[in-house]
Amino acid sequence: MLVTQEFNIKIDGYYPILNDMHLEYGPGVHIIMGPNGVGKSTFAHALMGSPTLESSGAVELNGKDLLAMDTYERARAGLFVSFQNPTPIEGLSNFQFMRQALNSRQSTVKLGDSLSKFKELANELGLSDTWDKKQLNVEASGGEKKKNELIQLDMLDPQVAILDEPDSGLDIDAIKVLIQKLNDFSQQEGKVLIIISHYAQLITSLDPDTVTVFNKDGYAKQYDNTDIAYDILENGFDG
Amino acid sequence: MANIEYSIGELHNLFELELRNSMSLNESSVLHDVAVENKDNIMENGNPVFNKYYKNMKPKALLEHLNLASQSSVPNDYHWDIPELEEFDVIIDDGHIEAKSELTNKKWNNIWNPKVLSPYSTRSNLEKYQPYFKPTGKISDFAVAHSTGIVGLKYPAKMSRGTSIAYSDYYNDKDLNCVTVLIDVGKNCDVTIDEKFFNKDGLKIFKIVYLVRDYASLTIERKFDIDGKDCGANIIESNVIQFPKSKFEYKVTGEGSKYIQDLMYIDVYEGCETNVRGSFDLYGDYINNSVVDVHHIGKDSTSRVDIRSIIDDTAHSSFLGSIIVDKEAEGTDAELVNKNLLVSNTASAVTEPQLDIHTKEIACSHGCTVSNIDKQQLYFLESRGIETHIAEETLKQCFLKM
Repeated sequence: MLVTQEFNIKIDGYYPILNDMHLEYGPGVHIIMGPNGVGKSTFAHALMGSPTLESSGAVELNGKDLLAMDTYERARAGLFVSFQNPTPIEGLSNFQFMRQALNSRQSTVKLGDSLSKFKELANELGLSDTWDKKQLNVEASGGEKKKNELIQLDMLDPQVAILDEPDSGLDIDAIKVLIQKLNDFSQQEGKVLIIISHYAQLITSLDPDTVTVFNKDGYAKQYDNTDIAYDILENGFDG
Repeated sequence: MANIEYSIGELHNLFELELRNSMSLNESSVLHDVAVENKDNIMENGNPVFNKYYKNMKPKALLEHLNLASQSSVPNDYHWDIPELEEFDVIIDDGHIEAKSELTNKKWNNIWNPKVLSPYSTRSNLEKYQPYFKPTGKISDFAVAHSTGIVGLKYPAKMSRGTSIAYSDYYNDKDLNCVTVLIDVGKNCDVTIDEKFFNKDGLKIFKIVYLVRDYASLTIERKFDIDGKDCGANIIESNVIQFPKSKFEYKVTGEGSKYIQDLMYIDVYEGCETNVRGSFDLYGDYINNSVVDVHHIGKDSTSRVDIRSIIDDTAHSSFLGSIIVDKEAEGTDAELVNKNLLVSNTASAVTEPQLDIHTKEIACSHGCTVSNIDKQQLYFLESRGIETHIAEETLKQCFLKM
């Protein structure tokens, strides 16, 4: 369970982006929608502890004070945030990175087993046989980066996953795999899946439990009635 | 008699007082003519340590390093002060060179090994190498003027060989040491040399000349004394002459030391390949100064220089890199890269690239940067649960590997 109360976000300490957010995300699927530039991605990265954002108010993850934690502690507490455009890191291979992330959680999975699983997931997503050896997000297409984030989600198995437009850059076949992976994830007990997306097929296929709409004034409202999502898809935010 | 304590800044005065005249200045020395030339050049133009060329290389730290000249009548206990004696094929100090056969009684089969060049052997024919030790106006002029004599190795044509060399201390004192070395790699040779420089309390100045003859390939892997970083100071000037169609590769790693200058000057003739790759991880108050100067003299040659340093605490790094392309050197393809990663607010790095191009029809580029750890990369690693200090270490290692 992820709960925010009077949650405010500023960029670089002075420019307010989001104000007074009271949101509650329990097990299930949740959609976040809103016009471009209202702070949906900022919200996700403020929860993750981005160094460029300043947060105030209260955020609890399973009753623990999330804002008191460092970024890596938030990740270890079970939070996962995908990146719209993950940063490239030359000199670090995709699998080395994954292995380091698993080791940081005291994972007992053997090296060979985690490599097999990594290769299996890469293969399922249509990535090259040598994907494990490629440098992290270096010279990768937008779609490949999204697929890489999906591999990370699967292997790190967090409790709360916030995915930022996970469909962007993916082809039709990859979107089918994405929907299946997200359904598999959300159907596990206690998993919270929050998706930032305006993609009708994805929203319909995931059958969300709540919809949160961010508006241009920097406020957000959460709806239990998910028809609002379909209204927005049909009529837009001003409709 | 009292001992004399002096810095390199006072060395030319000692020359003038004829207190530091060395064997190379004797008429019988194989270095005599060129040693006199170097000494005269110093006396005429002043002490090169004050040359502006060294302005970014913490010259104050070098000038504060004191050498102790013993005037005692009791002779020093001369022996190789090196714990890992067995690990090296050759050990070198000023005027001294010993190969494995002499060091360990393990026979160094002369048919399959390079010829050892010693100033005490008339068969070494070292006089003929004097033109390679002409004065340059740099600190290494002291090395030639003050050395006991050239030592070296000569690889006969077509030899394929790996050799390990330790530059160590034979004299066991705290005085200045000047070492002149000649490595002559014959035509069509394929030679790899692992070099390790051990520190001593006094300053060591090296002038090492590598001749890479036609179609030969020379790889040098140079390492510095990690355990002895707190003592001594080293100035190592290497001059590489690449004859046509030769290959030269230089790999250097280090963590800096109390004071170090590693200067690599490479003359490149027609159809050569040159690769220089360095990685340094500096911390504490250690210093590392690198100079790489590639001079394209002949046409159709390729050179790549890539030196990277991580600088932490109050450490200092300087890089002076230049690519010179002569008018005749058409078809040159040269790249010069120096990247510095500052990981503390008190660390310092200076990078100075220079391109001096005198012809057209070439490809020449440089990229020199000083930066901090990328906060977005750090955040990305942390967001997957990797602890901050491990994420930083990972990014540092990636920086060196790039």
